[in-house]
Amino acid sequence: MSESIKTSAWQAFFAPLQIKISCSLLVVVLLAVLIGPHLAAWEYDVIHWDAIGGAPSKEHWFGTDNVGRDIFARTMMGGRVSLLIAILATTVSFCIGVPWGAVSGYVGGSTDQFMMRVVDGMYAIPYVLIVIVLVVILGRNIYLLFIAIGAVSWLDVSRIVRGQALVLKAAPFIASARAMGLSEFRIVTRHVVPNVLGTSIVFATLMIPGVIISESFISFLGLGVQEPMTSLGVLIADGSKNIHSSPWQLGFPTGFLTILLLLMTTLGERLRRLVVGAERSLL
Amino acid sequence: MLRYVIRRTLFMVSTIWVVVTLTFFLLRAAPGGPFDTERAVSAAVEANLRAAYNLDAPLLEQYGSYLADLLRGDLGPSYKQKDFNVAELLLHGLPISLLIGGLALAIAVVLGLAFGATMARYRNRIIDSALESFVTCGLALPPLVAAPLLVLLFAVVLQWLPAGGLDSGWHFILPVISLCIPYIAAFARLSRSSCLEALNQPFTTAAQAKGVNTWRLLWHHVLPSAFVPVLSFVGPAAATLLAGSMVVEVFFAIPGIGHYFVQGALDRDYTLVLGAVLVYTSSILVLNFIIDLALLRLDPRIRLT
Amino acid sequence: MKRFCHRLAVGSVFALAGICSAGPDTAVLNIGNSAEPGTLDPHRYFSNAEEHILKDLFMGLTTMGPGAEVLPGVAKSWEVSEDGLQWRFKLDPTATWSDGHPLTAHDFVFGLQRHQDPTTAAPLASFLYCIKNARAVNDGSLPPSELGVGAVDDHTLLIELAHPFPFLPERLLYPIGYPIPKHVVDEHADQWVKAQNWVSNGAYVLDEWRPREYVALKRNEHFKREPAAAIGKVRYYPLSEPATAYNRFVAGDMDIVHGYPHNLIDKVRRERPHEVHNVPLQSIMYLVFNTKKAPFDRVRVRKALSLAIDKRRLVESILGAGEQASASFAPPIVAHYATRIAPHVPSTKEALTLLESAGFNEANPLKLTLRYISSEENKRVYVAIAAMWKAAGIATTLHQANLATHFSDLQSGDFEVAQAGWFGENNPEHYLELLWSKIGPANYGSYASKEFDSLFEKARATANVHARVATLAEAERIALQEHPVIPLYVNVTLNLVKAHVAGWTPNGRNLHPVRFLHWQ
Repeated sequence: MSESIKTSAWQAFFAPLQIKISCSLLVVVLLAVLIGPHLAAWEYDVIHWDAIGGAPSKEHWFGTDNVGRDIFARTMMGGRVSLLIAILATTVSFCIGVPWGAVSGYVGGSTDQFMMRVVDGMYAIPYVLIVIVLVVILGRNIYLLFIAIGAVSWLDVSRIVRGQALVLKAAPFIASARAMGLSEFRIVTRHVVPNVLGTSIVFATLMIPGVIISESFISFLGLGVQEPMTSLGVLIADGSKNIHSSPWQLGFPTGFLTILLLLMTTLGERLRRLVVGAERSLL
Repeated sequence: MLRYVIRRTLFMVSTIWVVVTLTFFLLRAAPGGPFDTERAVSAAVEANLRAAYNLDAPLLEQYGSYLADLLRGDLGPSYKQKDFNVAELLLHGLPISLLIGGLALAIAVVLGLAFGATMARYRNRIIDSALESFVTCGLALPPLVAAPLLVLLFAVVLQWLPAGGLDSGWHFILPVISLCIPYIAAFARLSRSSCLEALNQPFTTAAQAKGVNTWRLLWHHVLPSAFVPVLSFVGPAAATLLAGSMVVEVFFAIPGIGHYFVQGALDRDYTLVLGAVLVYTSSILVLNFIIDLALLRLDPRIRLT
Repeated sequence: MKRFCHRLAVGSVFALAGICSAGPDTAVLNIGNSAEPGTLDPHRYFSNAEEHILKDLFMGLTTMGPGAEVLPGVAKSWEVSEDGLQWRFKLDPTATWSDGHPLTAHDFVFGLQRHQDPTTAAPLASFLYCIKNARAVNDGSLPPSELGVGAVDDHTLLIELAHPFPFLPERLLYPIGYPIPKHVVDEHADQWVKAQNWVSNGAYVLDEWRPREYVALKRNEHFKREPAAAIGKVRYYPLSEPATAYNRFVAGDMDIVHGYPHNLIDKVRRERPHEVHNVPLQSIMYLVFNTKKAPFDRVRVRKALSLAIDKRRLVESILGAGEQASASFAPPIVAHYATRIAPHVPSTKEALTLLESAGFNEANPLKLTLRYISSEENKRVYVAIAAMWKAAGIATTLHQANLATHFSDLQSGDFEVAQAGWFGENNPEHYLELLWSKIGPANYGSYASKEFDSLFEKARATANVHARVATLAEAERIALQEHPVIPLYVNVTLNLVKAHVAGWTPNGRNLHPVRFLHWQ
């Protein structure tokens, strides 16, 4: 019985061609950003004095930037940094959002009211500004950047987790756990949180593209990672300034980001349908 | 009802107060000040400047006088745009930002509903999948990506549309399009699922069995109920629109208020940033309030809590 | 035509929506300014973008010619006393304000006093500290009436200096030297700068200022000097992004822009040979060492870092708009000046040897943080410099920050090596004074050399220009032996001017009074 559910779940997940393709492509992209920078003929920060602002060629597949650095190597490196920031920021937002939502949903009553009012209020804060100010205060630092993004993007997580916790609260096994005399803290940590994680992880795959966009946005404003390190946002910001003379500087990183976002979104979408059903949304 | 309105108003006011306080102290924690620029000014000049703007007072006192001014409706002077006060600057920029943001949201809602209804109507058929892929692409096209690509195509290569500025109606086209793409996708997806939900209701199945035209059904029965979740998403959508509008305003050199968040924070123009935050936060809160009131009307299932 | 049709097609949609574009007003000269002006009050003026507009709105005692040369302005002539301390300006008796009110020496007295008055909080007050008592007035220890300026009669102004300053006529070109309409300021106080209250004495007056859209000027009908404004209306658009400026110039929205993307230089030279004007700016871009921080307090370390930079490669390969590599700290293009600094000969090998002798080697490389201001062009320059240093075994961490943070870090001494730049006047003193230990925070590296200081102070006390500049040259030689800064290059302004605008003269200050321009 459980075996057949498993198989059907896997079938539902892998059957559509679209998913197969996007999954394998995602693996390719991940491999590319992980080992790409090493595979590239050039280091991402090496300057080629004789190829400044060069068009794509056999030697430099994506061309070179205005300082003569290989854009292929930089795009792969930028992809790696953007993904890293996205994953870490998502982790940070989960560390805040999951406990917050779980406690709020499980405890309920006026505690729930209060905790959700806080979340509602925070939705009205221009979080972009808060990130900008945090980056300005703390200096340009890749680690602070993801903490800042994570610290402001936990709101959605907490809402979803709360919704799940509300459902779980009524579940029989929680009632029996309570009957067995388990402490509330234990119930939340041992039963509520593990059970909402599945949904949360699905949500994470949907959230990562959003965080990549946030990171790119901050970098676009010139507040992102420091040279010679790079990220997709930095590359796009630079590329958009060279749109007339060397459109490839914009085209390749933008294309790469679009593909990455597309793959992540498709995958996340499919996972979502699998977990919560095809026709319902998470929020 | 009155109690609800009063409670919501209290909530809004306290949220605004918290946000203003938070922003005030965060900004002051940033290194540098409004008078740090490429030409170093002498100590006497720096002292004069700080005195002129009351920046030499203790921080708490400055905070107190800012709040006091705020209660009188005075947003203070701008430290960088010295010939204007913050209210003048925001009054100039706000209509532009509202127009662009509002147009983008309106287009997103209308097109999103249309796409969503079509997808639901042709569920699991080729049109549905085609639109689905289209929508997924849309989600992957934030303004940051869309704006340069659109400019590259329509302004640089084809030269049909202007690449920046705001001198005529033409200038609105590219900014609004680049801003609304991901929201069209989000609204389309949302309305698809709620349309489907409504289509599965007994009354619609019954109507279908009676041979009522599916489009008619969609228009008269399905869309109105699908509109509720769409409307409730307008609030959060408007809140996230800000980041996109900053990019768009920077990219297209549009004199809206989005620019003041970024440049103001970088220039340490404290009062200008605070003013922009205040306007932004209160618009979002008021918008959400209005939406909630509208939802109350539209959906009898929602009760006041 | 094709383009027009498309515009027509899309246009009808927008006409329906009720947002219709206005036809182009051919009589308006549209200029792309580098930024939004912060103020149009000449005394609170600070930025180059403001100066661009103010020079059309006001006329000082002296004024700028088409090539930014110093010409008599409201003052028709002036005399200097033997000791260089008393300057007597004879004013044009027919001069008036734009409301017809006569303009007298009293307006200048009021203006100069207001500029030093601490309540005005003029950011560039120190530019006129050469006036007797100015420093004391500005820090509040003397009342403004004690400032060394006075009206001998309605048309004669006397300025007393604290020390000889032969470059005063040039210094008075800055907006800080402009007169202020006392009768208007008395009536409207701070609101005098609003368009509806506006009164000035230049070829143009303020018509309208739409924040971050444009500043519109119109001809001042009371302006009596020749040439009078041939162009009736001018608009300054804040186009801080060079790509936007370029787009709008190409689209025909702008007649003049003062910047386009650096990497378009070849394309622009090819496609618009008659519209492009890349003009050297009287400026110096340099690296400054924090001389209070080890190991940058050691001359050999600083020298090694200087030797490792190939300035020629920097200006030719990375910049390439005609920037000029500079060995001297005073820009080689300024007037009256023959520098004594030998040409820069880069040598990675020599740098390595010097670093070795300072105790740095492969096992113990010199590590430093290089700070620069975020911008596309800077990024290229400083990434390249870091690469050159890498070749000399130096590990550079790049740190970019926005302008405010950058300079606040510099002024608080929180840096090792940093980018800096200075521009403006056509004399060496304007630049060399940044190395003077008493100049204040503008000497970012806190460089202090007794020998340089005494030579600089000697020059400062000299009234004769030639003797003064010769002493400055010697002072510069002494200072640069210790490498407190690495002069990099003289910047270039990238201008595009439509062929139908005539009379535009390239100049080292890149300021172009509109009254000298006319339609072709």
